Order: sequence, then C-alpha cells, then structure tokens
Amino acid sequence: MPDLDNLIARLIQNEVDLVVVGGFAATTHGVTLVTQDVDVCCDFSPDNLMRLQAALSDLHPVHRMPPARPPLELAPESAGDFKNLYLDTDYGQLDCLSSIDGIGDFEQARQHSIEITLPEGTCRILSLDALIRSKEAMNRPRDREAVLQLKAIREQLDGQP
Amino acid sequence: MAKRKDQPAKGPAWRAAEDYGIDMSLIESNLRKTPAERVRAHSRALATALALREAMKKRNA
Repeated sequence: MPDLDNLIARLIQNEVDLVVVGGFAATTHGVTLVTQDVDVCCDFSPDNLMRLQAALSDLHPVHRMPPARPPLELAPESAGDFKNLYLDTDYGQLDCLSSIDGIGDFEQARQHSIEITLPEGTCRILSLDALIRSKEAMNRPRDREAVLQLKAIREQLDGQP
Repeated sequence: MAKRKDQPAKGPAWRAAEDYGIDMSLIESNLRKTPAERVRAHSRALATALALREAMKKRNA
C-alpha cells in the first residue's frame, strides 16, 4: 500500500536536496486529483544521491523501468551516471528527475520553489506559477485538467475577479 | 452544480474549470486547509481508492 506521506518524510529526514514537482506538488497547492506516486526534481550530485539511497534503504528500492527491476545500488563513483531515477519502493513509486519540462534543471526548479512545513520538517515544492508552466509544457490530458484547477486556484489567491 | 445566489462572482479561470466539470467546492475546501492538511487528505483519499480497487479485484477474482 503506498504511503506517500512517509516516503516524503524519509526524504526530508535524510536531508535530500529536492523540490517536489508533479501531481503531489499540485495536491499541496489544492488540486483535487489523486496521484499514486511522488515526482521530485533533485540534485544529482553523488552526495545527494547517496542521501537519497540512505533514505530508502529499508524500503526495498528498485529501478522499476527495466523488466528485471534491479535493486537501487548506487556507489559514489557511479552515482553521477544517472539523469533520472524511476524507483519503486515499499512506500510507493518515486521518480527523481534532474530537470523538468517548462522549468529546467534542479537549480532552476529550486529558484521557482516555495518552502512548506510538514510534520516531519520543511520541504520545497514547485511554486504554483512554475507548476502551471511545467504542466502546460507536458500537456498530457491529466496535466490539462490540473492546469485548469491550478489556474482557478491562482485566480482565487489573487482575489479575482 | 447549482450556484447559490450569495456566491461571489468568480473569474474566468474559475468558470473555465467549473464548465469543464470540476467540482469547485472541493477546491474551495482544499484552499481552506494548510498544505500539510492537504497532503494528509490526499493520503486518505488515495488509501480509500486503493482499498476499493482491491475489494473490486477480489470480487471479480
């Protein structure tokens, strides 16, 4: 059974440098769509990826795209080889991306993020406006519905009309 | 969805979402919550959806 709250909590507690993006970020902004995974844009430096691996170590993390689903076994010298990590864990799916459509790389995502407080600590999520840009760039049917909601939320927060 | 007479006028983006069929009362409810409360509510919704899916799988097995 996915436990996305605790998946995020693990990342926070292990000080993984990341920005929550995608559907989970949309949820924190008020979107009503339910998502079954967590997407993060993160620093792909070896140090950060080793913290990520430590955060997931007892959750049986595997690479979910290859049919053999090999376990996540990063070493500092090879951690820099990855551009994205598509993982499955006991707490649910976690996609770690080095860049996101419409925004750019991790540093740009970080610049366009806000900090929120969760019971486990603080966490950075993509800002409402950046999330709209990202979802517009992806433009899948699900993204289009999220954009409708996000724009309505932006308008409501701006006090329009 | 029926609109109450005392509802304030909404902007074009709000109306576009409403016209698309989105239940805007759910968004209003979400906006009254803190981000942490939204995350918790999402978790409960996901758990419920998955439990129902599992129950349907068992029924159809």
